Amino acid sequence: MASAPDSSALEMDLWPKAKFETDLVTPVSILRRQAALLGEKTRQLVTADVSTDAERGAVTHYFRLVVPALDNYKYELFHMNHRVDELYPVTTYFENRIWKITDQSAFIEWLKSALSSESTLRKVDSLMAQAKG
Amino acid sequence: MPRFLFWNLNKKPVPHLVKEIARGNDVDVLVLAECEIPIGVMLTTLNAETPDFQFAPGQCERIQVYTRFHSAFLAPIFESDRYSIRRLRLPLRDEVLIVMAHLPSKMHFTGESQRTECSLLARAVLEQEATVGHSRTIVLGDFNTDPYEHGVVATDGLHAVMSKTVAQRKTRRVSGHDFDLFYNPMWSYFGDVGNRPGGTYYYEKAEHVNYFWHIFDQVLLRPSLLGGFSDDVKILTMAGGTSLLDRDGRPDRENASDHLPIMFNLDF
Repeated sequence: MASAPDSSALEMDLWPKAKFETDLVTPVSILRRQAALLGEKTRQLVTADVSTDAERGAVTHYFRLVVPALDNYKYELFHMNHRVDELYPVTTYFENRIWKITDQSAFIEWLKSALSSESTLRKVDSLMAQAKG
Repeated sequence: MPRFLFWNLNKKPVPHLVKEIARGNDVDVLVLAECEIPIGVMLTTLNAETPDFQFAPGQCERIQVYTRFHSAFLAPIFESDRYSIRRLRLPLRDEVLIVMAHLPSKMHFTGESQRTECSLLARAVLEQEATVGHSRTIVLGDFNTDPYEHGVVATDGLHAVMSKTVAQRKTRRVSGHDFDLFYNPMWSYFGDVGNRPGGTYYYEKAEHVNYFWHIFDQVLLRPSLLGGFSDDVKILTMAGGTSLLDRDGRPDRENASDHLPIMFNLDF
């Protein structure tokens, strides 16, 4: 026999007891932080921005150097993508190579090596020199 | 009428051949991929008789640009390690956006990844067209993808079609979205009719499906530029008196490059 409707159902919380993570650090927020730091280090001669688009279930983030003094010239240093519903793995594309990165600590290590690579530093130096005129 | 030339040099030290082609054909904008010739050597060779050519600098190391115009007329606005997008601003002419690309090879990237690279390039083109406020755009380079492959043809790729009439519709609506079109004249250059080479790149392998000739080196034009397009892309086989082909009629990868240069005129 079906039980009678119970109005107390409206008071129930059916979500699991586990705390939801509200302080999750996403790959794009890590990128944005590094983008902001570049401008500080170059006295805003070369800055960086991060743009994002989402298509067919994947999110792509583009990390670009920007030179305000050169008509906002942009150089795309790398891009990366991950599924809309999962932060990891991320796939990064940098200098003709592709990396599949499975967690945050590996992503930070990868990002550190990309930002400190000889070619990245050479580009930033070259753009700074041009920005100074 | 400005003349454009693109050639993937396959890292070969052939400045003398580049000079023969550039000077012999009165090229105005010379775009080189996989060029390891030092800039000083290239300029000295190009300008051996008269100082006509300038180097037009950019950050994309895969692409080098030399021009008879002042290099400031060809300033880059957006680049990556794969492409250089520049505004060509000549006095008394409308501005043109020139996109010069060298996309990943089939040796290093899967077909799916190559298609993604074409989509990323297409997205960058649209973004820069929005920035400059027009779509008088040329895309040229080595796409490492044939004109019939999805990366070049698909709406989310470069969306380049073989028919000028179709391209002149400017956009095409699919599933409720409008997609801008390019015209791809390179379709007309497949096969060796008229004793011309069958493409710009030759690849032979003992497998069941083999096209042998490919046209990885292409130029695409937005419909707004078609009025000034001479409709005559040339796949060059000679550099002055030197053949760029070997005894079998394929690109001479030993003495020249494994790619043949393409050249076209455009009035704008």
